[in-house]
Amino acid sequence: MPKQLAKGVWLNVIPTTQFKTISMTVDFIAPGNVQELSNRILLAQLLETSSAEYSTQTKLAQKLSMMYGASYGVNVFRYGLQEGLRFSSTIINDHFIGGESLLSEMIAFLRSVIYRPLVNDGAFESVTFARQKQNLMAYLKSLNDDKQYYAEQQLSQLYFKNEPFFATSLYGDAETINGIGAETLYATYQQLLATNQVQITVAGDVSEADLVADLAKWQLEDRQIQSSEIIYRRPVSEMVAKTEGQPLQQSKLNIAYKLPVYYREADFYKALVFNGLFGGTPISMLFKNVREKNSLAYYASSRFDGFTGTLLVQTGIDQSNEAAVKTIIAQQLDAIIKGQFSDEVFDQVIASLINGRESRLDSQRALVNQAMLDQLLNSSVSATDWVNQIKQVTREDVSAIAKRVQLQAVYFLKGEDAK
Amino acid sequence: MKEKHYSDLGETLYSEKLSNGLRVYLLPKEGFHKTYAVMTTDYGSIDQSFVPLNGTAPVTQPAGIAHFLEHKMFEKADHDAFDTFAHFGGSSNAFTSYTHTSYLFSATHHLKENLETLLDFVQDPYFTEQTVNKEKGIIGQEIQMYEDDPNSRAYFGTIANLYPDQPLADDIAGSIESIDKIKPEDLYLAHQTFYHPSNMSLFVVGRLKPAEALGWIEANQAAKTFSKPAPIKRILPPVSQQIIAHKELVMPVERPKVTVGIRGNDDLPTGINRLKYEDAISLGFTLLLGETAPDFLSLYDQGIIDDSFGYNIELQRGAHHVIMAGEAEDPKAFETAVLDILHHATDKLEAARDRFEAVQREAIGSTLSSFNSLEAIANQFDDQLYGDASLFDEVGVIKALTMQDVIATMQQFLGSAGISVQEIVPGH
Repeated sequence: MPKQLAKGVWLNVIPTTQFKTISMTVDFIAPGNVQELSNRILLAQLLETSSAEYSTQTKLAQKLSMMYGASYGVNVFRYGLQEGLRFSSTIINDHFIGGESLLSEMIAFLRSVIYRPLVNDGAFESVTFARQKQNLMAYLKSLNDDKQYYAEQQLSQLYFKNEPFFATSLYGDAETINGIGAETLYATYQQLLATNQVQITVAGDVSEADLVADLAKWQLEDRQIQSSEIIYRRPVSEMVAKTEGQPLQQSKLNIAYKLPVYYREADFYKALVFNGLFGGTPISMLFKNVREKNSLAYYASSRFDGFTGTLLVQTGIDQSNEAAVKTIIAQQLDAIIKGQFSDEVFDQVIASLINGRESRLDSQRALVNQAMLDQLLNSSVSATDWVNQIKQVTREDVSAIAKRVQLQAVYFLKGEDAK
Repeated sequence: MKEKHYSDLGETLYSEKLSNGLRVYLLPKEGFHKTYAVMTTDYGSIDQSFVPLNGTAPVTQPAGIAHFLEHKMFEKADHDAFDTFAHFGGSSNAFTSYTHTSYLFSATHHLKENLETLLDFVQDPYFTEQTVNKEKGIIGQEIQMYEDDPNSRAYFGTIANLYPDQPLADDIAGSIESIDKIKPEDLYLAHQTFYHPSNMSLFVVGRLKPAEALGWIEANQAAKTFSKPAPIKRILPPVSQQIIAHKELVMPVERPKVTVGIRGNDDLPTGINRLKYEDAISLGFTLLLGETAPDFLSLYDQGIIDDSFGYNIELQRGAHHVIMAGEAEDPKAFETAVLDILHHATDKLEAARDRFEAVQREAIGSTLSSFNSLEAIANQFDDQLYGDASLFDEVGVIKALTMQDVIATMQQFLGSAGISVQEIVPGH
């Protein structure tokens, strides 16, 4: 059970001896916007590489190495309307390394890097700030070399053209980041530490009492949570399409649909089964028909995001096959609406989804994420309940879901002769 | 069934060699919900030329055939193995490297049925003109996807530069032209030669009872007949130390990329000493260019390297090399700096003695952590490369390493190594 350490500050403990490690995350969460998201990206880049106590990467790395290669990372996540700055660390269980106690050391380390950043005169230290900002800008540029990512990002910008927060990638907006100064960012960070909802999550061979004792030194004052609304219900819009040419061997056809079904709300499990049948598994109709039957793609899949009610399709194809692939994708949706799929494939999809859910119990990271999300949503569904919900979904349910899928945006990255 | 307990890991590995030669490994993991199984043949993209089983004349097959075969194994006359796994909730996949081809599933239920499906589909080939030709479109798209990926081009380009006169110079998937030549009979011949149980292993890890799982595997194998095992005759071109020292490739990328490949020309030790060699090289590079190294910080602060910088130590049948890669605004400065560090490796390592304990601890922790992941254990396990030793012995090997071992091994490796630089240059 989650324990409230202060108002707006939660500790989620998952005691388990399944793993050789103890994994801990500290999340600062608030409703997002483009500026805040960009701030967080730059904070993550800075705080992952420096602090007052560990002023350079080598000092930081030396400390982590001495802690038997403890991992340490800072990253940014988004669940619907909420965004989080996550500090995470994983250490080896004491008894594999001769009884040294790394847990208290790790908690002290996290406290140090979170609460004592490398600061000078009320601003992030200028040389480190400038270098890390430059590195981040360079990284943002090189992200575009990953064409699958690029196509997905272009589609998001089409689909969420009226919602800049969702149109922006999880790596932030380059122009916004470019405008952030060392002083403003430091002030923003102080604000974030004092006002954001805090979720601390630990999985491993630990006791809650020990953790509470170690965390007592942290500055975890009461805070007023602004809004914990997560689900974004995007209004339906006119269908938009865009084609862009680039010198590439392979073209990318990406499609966005609105599917107004939301995380853990009515019909959520039906939508999961629908997505598994449509393109979410390697036995799906997209995989079978675009790839296996017609030999038109290496990948053809779909993904459903229950936090925004979005269904995304992605394919990598030859540029001459755009029309054919579009037709086959539309036919698969239509076939599901009409119930034209076998009992066998339907059962296989159900079995695959169950396998996927149960397998997540074997991932420490997945356990941590789920516990944090449950607390954020203030609801939880055990793996057993989840499986039971999936088993109750019928063929008719899935056809009914397919009828609610609305085409909203099509992006085609057209490969033009590279040579 | 052999049983070996590794107390520093808290793991017990069970193993058995079946009468048909198949090597079986079983690792029960307390508290886990799924079981992961991987069946591997000692056959990869470099094994293009060989004397077929029961044959006399050598053949040379088209580049990319091992990967093509991997794709085609799933399709049968009346069903697809993917679907059979899915029926039992199993999630299946496969991958091909330069020296191995592996087929896998993971499942939280129906272990027996999923294991039987794995053994059956890997041992029962079915190829026709039509199914083979159909696959050419799919793999063609896969090849083109990687053609557009600068990291993939940089990596495969570097390996090709290091081994220009070896089959390693061909991409694992081959080329559109080479795979076009593949015929069903080529696939049958490769399967017959390299998929004999005596050339394969099966590693099962996670939720399982060793005796029960072995019983299912034995019963499945006992019901099938195989030809008598015979040694495989692979034909490789004579080994020369010729490399391509420098190459540039123009691609429509945002930032230049540099890859430095270091080819080991030294003779590797055998058995557990090979594991020791590999770990010593790994510690050596961490000391020279890992995040705790002063040179790393200096290059980072000068903007010569950034967070994209990384390196990988690769040791496989017939070859070993280190690949270092990163994005670099100034590729020449990157190249000069990295080569300078390698050139002065011994002095730099001598000066790094005070950091040895830290990198040793880091390596121990990283090995222990990998035992959290069923996939990591099974995929990394190789029962042929290190004699009787394996990754289960790695923590002990790292603990026993000394700074002197690291310096001596680095000298052995770098002393006769060939170095090649591959640049990806932005442009059209």
